[in-house]
Amino acid sequence: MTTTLSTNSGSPMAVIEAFVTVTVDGHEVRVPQSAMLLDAVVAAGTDLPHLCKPDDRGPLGACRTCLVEVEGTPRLAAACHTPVSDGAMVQTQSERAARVRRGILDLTIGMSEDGRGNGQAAEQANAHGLEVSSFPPRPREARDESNIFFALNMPDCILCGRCVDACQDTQHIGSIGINGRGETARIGSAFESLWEDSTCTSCGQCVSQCPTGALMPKAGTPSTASHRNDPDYEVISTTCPYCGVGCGLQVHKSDGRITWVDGDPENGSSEGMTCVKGRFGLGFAQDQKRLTTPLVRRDGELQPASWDEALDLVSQRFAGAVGSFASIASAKATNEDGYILQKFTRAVMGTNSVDHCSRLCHAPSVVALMEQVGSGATSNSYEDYDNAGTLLVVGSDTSQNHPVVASRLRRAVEDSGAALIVVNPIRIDLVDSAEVHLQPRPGTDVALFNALAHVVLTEGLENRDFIAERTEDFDAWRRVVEQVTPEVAEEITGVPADDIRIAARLYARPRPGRDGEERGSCLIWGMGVTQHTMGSDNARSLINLALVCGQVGGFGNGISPLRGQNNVQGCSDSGCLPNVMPGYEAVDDPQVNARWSAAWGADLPTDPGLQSTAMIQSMIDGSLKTMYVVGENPLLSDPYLAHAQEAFAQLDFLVVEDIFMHETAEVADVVLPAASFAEKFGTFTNSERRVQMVRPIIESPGEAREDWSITNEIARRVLKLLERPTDGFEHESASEVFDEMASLTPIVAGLSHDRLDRDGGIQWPVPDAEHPGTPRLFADEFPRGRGKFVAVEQGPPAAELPSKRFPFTLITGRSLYHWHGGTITSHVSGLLASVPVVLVDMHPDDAERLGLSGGDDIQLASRRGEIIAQVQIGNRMQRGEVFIPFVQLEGVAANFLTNDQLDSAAGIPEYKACAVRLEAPGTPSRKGRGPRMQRKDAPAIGSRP
Amino acid sequence: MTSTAIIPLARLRERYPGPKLPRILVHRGTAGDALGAKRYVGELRDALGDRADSVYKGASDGANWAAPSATVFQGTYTRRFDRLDLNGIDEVVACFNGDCGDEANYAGTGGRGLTARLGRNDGSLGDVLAQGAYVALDRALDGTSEQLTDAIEKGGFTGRGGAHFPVAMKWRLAAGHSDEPRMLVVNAEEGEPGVFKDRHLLEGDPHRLIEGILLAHHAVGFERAYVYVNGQARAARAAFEAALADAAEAGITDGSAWDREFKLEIHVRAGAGGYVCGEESVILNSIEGERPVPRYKPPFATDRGLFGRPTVINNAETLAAVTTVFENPPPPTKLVSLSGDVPRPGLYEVSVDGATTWTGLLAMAGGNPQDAQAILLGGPSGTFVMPDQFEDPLEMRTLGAGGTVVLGADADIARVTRELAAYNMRESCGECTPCREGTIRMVDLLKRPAEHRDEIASLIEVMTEGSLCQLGGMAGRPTQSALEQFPATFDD
Repeated sequence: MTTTLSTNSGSPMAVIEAFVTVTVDGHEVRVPQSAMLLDAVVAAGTDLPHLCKPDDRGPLGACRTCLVEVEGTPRLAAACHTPVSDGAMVQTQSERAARVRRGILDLTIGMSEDGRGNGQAAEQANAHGLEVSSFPPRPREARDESNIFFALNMPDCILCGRCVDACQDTQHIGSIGINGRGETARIGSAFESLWEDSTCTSCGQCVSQCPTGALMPKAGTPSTASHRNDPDYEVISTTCPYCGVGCGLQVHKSDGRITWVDGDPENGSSEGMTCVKGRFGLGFAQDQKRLTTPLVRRDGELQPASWDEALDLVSQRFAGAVGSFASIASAKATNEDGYILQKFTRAVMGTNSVDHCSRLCHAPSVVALMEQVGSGATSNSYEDYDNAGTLLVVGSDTSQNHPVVASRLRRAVEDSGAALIVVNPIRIDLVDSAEVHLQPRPGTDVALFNALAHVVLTEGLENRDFIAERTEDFDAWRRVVEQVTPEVAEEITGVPADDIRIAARLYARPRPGRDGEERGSCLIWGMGVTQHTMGSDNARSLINLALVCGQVGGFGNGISPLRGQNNVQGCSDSGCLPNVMPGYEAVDDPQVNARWSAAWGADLPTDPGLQSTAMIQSMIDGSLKTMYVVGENPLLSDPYLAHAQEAFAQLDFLVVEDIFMHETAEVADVVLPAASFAEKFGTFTNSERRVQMVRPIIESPGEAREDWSITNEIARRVLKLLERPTDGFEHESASEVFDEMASLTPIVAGLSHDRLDRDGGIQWPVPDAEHPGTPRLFADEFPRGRGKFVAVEQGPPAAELPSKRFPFTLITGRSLYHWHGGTITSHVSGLLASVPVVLVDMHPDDAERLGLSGGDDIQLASRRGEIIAQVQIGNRMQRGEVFIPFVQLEGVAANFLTNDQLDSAAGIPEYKACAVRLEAPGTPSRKGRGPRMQRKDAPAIGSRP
Repeated sequence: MTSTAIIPLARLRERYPGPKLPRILVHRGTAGDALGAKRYVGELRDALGDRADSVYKGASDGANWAAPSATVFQGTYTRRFDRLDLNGIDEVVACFNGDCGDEANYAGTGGRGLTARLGRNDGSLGDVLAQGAYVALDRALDGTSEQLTDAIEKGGFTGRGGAHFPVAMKWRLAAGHSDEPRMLVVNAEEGEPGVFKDRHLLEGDPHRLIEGILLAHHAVGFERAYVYVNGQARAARAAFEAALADAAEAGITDGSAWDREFKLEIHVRAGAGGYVCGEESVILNSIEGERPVPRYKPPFATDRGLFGRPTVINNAETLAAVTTVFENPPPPTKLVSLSGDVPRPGLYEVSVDGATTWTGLLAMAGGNPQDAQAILLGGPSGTFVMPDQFEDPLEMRTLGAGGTVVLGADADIARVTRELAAYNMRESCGECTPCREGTIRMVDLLKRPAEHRDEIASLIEVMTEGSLCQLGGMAGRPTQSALEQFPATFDD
């Protein structure tokens, strides 16, 4: 007997598993002791039906089509769930096994309308010599076509249960089950409701698993598991372009078009899952409205131009703008794109004014993390959520924004008995799985978290060793939180003091695992923490709690700001920030400056550049005249849009590079068509610091080009005009760009496209090519040495509080079916159909008081603008609070209302709280300023003068 | 037995004294009430006047045919009066007053085996304590876990739910997982048509099951026990819960009556109905709140069962039977639920000693072998016992759960077979293809069996070999047996 060593990197368990020998139809194979007979059969290269057994999931044992004969066993064995034993002699082709399998397949295809079966059932029946069932058709129920993305056709269903497993035990949604029993058994949702009315999130995991095509996508051609063997399909592995979870996708392509998407079971971040956007939302890349040619403004109109004309114009204007230039990078683009853009901005344009949307999401987290631990990234991995005893989720509507992480959180609760604590003013979906829901008034997080720490200290739950050995400034901080009793916090936050105590105990002393092992607590947060004028203080109060409990740096604990966009982590890593070079080296550090200046052969600026929110002010005051905006739409995503529009109108020259026309591109002087994620090589870095490959699937439309190569070309042309050498921008491929970044950036020094191709995604830091990657940071020490307690006190909850004139607090956020401003998702018909208009969530009492019903139009007005949205009444909101996702639909966007007041340290605007009033549509603006947003109209954005 | 060991029981008996005699016990319970036994409690109390408190409500003693009935306990003898609806209560009252008529009708004062107290107690703890309840537990507590398991092994106790698995072996398999919390599941689901033994046990002597549970706990050591009762057996559940409350109050279930600490939680769970809910792995899913479908095996429950913990699943009758472990020698008996074409249908505890034959069983119920076409043994998973087998001795292995239906000369075997096939179709949970689809197709094929003999034979093989659990695995047996034993019946 031989043994093999398999290690689970980063996990404390190293498993040594024995192998056994199994003989399949005379062929000896070696399989692990824990394997099933089916594994041995597959290892022997034998084709055996197993309709209900997914390749990447455990057995269900329902279809019974994998029966084999095992010597010495009286009954036939179902290979999928029968464990191997050493020396087992398996016959797959014995007369008896084949006869019984054929009988079962006969019953199986007999369920179909024409008796021939579908998909894999038909294939396997054919392989067993059956074209048509010997039984007459068994009529069953018709279709459920209520879901926008896929349909269920019961006559094609063989009740294998894979969709149920996908929904209940993979995604932990639980909207699919088997209703009825025996003869009447059928797939459906609870209480026989239509799927549209169920808890279904349209993730399509069920469709991905269906072996017969009874669950079939409505759009495109069938390319599900039912047709896996179709030779016409090419499958390309890549990384999802939507949120920061970083799901691995296996994109099916036929005839040059994306036809279907499976989750990649090998991907450590997503483990085979995707959400609705990853599964059904890639169609934007092939939308008719993609930009296909450069556009140049002539006679006030954007008109098609050649690349040469456009690039000449851009480079001439940029060459004259050294000193009054800024760029915005894209967190949707690759690390390579970002690296080249910041290099161009610094080395050619001589400024550090390069920023990206993390300014609008996690800048406060980064400020606090840098100050307190010395690194701005998530400390742990998603797998730590699986192993934690307590999951504290703060200001993150995870199931809307990071659906696959939400699935992992629900799995931890359901399968591992983890306690989930949700801190959110909104009753988000995740509350259904939570043990405690703390529902503070918006903007009172500091008081709440100080009180949680207060309980930890007064009840002696703190981790004294950790505090003594790993932290500093404890006493000063302690004196502040000592003032904040749960009762004090209850006054401020509205959260009952006893709930605060329960949550504090659960976080500080997580429940042990099923087998009694000690477990940690994970602290997970989102924009609800950061998008406040006191966002940095909020983040500090969270980190203080993690430090006092010592819940960071170990297996099954840690601190995770969940990143919003697919590559917001990588965009920061690659240096698209005004104060740091790639790898977070401070621009004003002389040594850093010397090293990078030498490497790039340029005299790099040492003054930190403008933050993106500060750029608006510089446009207004005229000090910023020229901008290069790559893959961003600030005239939708900035707060107080009317003000942003004014600012952009002041620019002399604006270049926008993107895949679609949008609000900001409309006012540009030059618009450059970019290749989408589906058309290029590159890397995305996800929220757990996993650097993953992006690979081309389709051809770019028209003349669209990759961002890094466009910027490279602009750089060369500008440098020629400036009569400087161009050799820093001569890259031939994304792989070369990555290699240059790796050679200069220690955190990714050990990575290359070749290695990522070979090993899959790897979590930085990866200091050298042998290093396996780093699932969790801070195991032994923090980058700054000791973790620093920073005392923070509760200030005013928001810059703008509800008043008599504006009595409601508006909270903004996101919707599952749209991504950020909707520039991409509004080009996916199914996603748009799922949420076609801007909805405003409100409490039933508020609606009743205002005489509103669900579906009514209502005008919301703030001091900065008005919009009209559709009323949605439910249990999500507290009284006096309303919620709008910040997606722009039919010309309506919440950011016409939001406040552009900033957090002083991080420069993030207060998207999460502003004061509004609700009034009848058409009520005139009292201030008479700001655009009037009307649904069904084009965006009321004036063209540039 | 040492003198110290008797003290706890003596204490209990003092605290919970037995009944005063003479007394009248009206056999109510599900069987009695179905035939109007309830009214005779009142009638007898009225008749007794100032001695009305000598009339008690008890459960059935298994003689369902005799209901409504009442038994008079005179101290040295008892006598049951049958069919009060036909015979009235005068004889009962007379017997209570000392005139019990022909001594040939007298019965003894106590029985043996697990029905010894059935229909002989009023459900109170004192009543059953006086009749020997918790004596076996008291004795077992004198010894070690291993000594008890050895005695169980030596007594040859096997599972009474039908699988006949050695009890001691199952207990040892679970006890081997000494590092994990272990679970006990008591299967009192009894979904099989024609089986009513667990209802009688729970209604008539629930303390025997509690004692069995505590014996198993002494042998294995459980964190929790779940008693899974058929959802329709409301009276059984109510009686068991009442007894459990009494036992808890008396310090029996927590061990304090013996100055011990048992650390066992006993929970009662009711199934929502369905034949398949008696399948042991279905019970696990049902208790966990999952859809009631079987689990594949391995893993076996003794390794990974309820909530993933090592679990012993014992039939209620099995645990009732182990309370006889110290009776010397333990009686090899089996509860048989006998119904159909016999004069005295009911619950019988029969000796499975190699001497009792089917003819003997029929005789107990007043039946004549000549009048029976066959006996259906095992209901919808069963087979037909033919007259030429009636002289064979009863065997524990073949008796299954003990459901027997006597089919008289007029019985339509083909119709019985179709009914059973249709029952299996209705009761299939639908989880696996051979059972779900096979039972549907079987009903169809049995409409014209003569034309489909080969198809039926193939289908039975597919269901038997392929099904996930034994509902499907045995669903073809009645059909197969009928075709073998009554070939002509299907030549239509």
